[in-house]
Amino acid sequence: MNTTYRKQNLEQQTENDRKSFFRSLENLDRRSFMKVAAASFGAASVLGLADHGMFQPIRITGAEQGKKEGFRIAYISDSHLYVKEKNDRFANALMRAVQDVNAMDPQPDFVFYGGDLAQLGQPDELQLGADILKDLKAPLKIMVGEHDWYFDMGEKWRSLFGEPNWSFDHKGVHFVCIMSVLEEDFWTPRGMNPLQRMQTVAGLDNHVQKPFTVGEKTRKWLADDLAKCKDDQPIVLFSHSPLYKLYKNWNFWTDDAEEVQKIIGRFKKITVIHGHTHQILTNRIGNIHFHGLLSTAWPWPYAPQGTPELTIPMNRPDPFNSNDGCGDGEIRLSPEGLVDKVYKLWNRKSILVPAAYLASEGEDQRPLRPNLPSY
Amino acid sequence: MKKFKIKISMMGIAVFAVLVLLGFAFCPISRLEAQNGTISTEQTPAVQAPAPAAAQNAPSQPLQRRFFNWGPGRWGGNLRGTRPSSAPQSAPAAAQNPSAVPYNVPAASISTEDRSESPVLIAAGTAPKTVAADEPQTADPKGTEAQKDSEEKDLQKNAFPGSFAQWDNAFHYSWVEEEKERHQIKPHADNKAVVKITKSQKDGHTYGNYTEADLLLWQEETERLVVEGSLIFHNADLLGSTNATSCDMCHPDAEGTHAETYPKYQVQLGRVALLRDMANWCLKNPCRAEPMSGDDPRMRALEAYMQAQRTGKIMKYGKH
Repeated sequence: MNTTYRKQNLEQQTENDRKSFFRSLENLDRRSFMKVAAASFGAASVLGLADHGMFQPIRITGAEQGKKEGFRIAYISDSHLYVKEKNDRFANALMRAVQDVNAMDPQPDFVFYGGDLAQLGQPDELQLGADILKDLKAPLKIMVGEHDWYFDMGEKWRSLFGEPNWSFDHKGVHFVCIMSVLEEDFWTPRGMNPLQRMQTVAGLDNHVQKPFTVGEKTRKWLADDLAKCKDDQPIVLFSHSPLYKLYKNWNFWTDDAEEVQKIIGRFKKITVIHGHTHQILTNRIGNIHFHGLLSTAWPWPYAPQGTPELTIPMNRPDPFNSNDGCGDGEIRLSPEGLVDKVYKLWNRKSILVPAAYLASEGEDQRPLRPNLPSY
Repeated sequence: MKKFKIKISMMGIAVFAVLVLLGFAFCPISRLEAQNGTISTEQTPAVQAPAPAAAQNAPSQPLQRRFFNWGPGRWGGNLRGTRPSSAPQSAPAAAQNPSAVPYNVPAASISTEDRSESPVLIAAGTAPKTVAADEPQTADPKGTEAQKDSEEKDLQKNAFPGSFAQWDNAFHYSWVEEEKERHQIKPHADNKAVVKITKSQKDGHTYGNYTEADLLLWQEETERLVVEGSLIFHNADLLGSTNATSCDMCHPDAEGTHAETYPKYQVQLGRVALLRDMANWCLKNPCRAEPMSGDDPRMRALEAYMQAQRTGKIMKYGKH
């Protein structure tokens, strides 16, 4: 009882402080207001609190005629929706992300969704996700995750969004998306029904399931798709699972990653964007740059081992704030065709992982380390 | 007057008989004995052949003990088995009586290989009889007498619904093995040094001499609690979650639970918290479940699992 009482008191106090602060702001004349604004921006910059999304004016690259243009893509990923009646938190989070992206000015060239739209692959869950994503102003490109697939083996997902493997060219960059979450059949020998199969795959630490693979068929499709591309054409490859081997126990893993890396290794400007890991992840293998995506549903702790050296881990999320560690972000394509990755954490400052950081093997433009204490 | 007395005494007998029957239905001692298999049902004639006076009044259905539902879906009942001396096929026992599977363990985790032939325990203490899956279990080709015999046995089975499969000791270990297969549990400590105590040390030892069997018992008992915790940790229904959220969704392999840092001043709560306080916070908020009391068997199991999974971490209370 005591605690509650004290807590309410504290909240009240903060509220009162805030109110009096804003009251004092209202009383400022224009000149003093400008002073305060400049001072606060200055202070924020000095403290390293300036947010890439908040304070920095967005540079629209390639304004000059004849020069190659850079552009940006927004991303949303891993919403893990239940039907609203069961759990509205995840649906609300996805709606927040959609609002974030719709508020971007100028609008991104397209929005990329990184898979795991549903939690248990139920048609209702996927439909709900599709309905929420319809509100996006920019065109949507969507990837499949294991949570979308293993209830009906992709039937509903395909009816909503089409084939899981796709590719297209946009402003000189070749975008490819592959389904990388193929699992060997573990369910038939165990006589599992579709829901049991789905629940097994949905458990991150469930050992009954098999490691993810891209599979021979998709690898061949990828090789054929990339055959027409020249070595110096910028490529962005989307896959739900990371296309390298990070931590097998949680399927932060693709079993035939090396073979896929062989296919894409010849390109000079190649970036792989993956979902599934719900955290900031940065890696480089050969020429290939790897970036993770944030989830809108919940953050995952870093794996006990295997986190790449180039990764600068995000803060340990605060469990008391359901938005902490979650977010969405941007994929910024430089005119050269390399990716600057922006992680827009909802409860923290945004983190920018520039291409130069990866290109220089961590020498230049190192992203800021998190400066807030952990809980 | 005499007639009246006879009437009274007849009524008394009837009432007594009814009481006796009710007593059997509710008596916890007979229940426990039947569970342990110390009394086979063949040795309790009162259940098989009820008193004739009562039989006239009783409905024609066989007597059912529907008030006792210890096994499936109840706490405690299915966790108290002892290890079988030999290891019989455990999976079929569960397959035979799917309702007896604890915690709604998916039937799929029961291997299908053994489903073609299921051993049926006719009564406690008798040898298991193997029956093909599609053959009716009561079928008996030998005449009407054998038929009657099997019917009688069927009646015994009905008197204790599901009791035989449910209390088959092998079953208790099947869920432990299944859960261990699903989720990785950190290994138990190796206590071999305890057995290696020299003879002179043994003489003065408080608890006598330990054997390998003791170590095995300690390990299995402890592991079972941990495995039970894992089962609850990964199951939204057992946690009582109302929004289908379970612990493992944020804490795969109990990662990020930081069990080794408790007790600590939990800043967000504004007070010192034990691991269970934090677990209860998670139950109330992300899971939208009822918090558990500290001695709730589920909470004990959850704590056991979280602590076991943080094996090897440096214990440092108060760490942020």
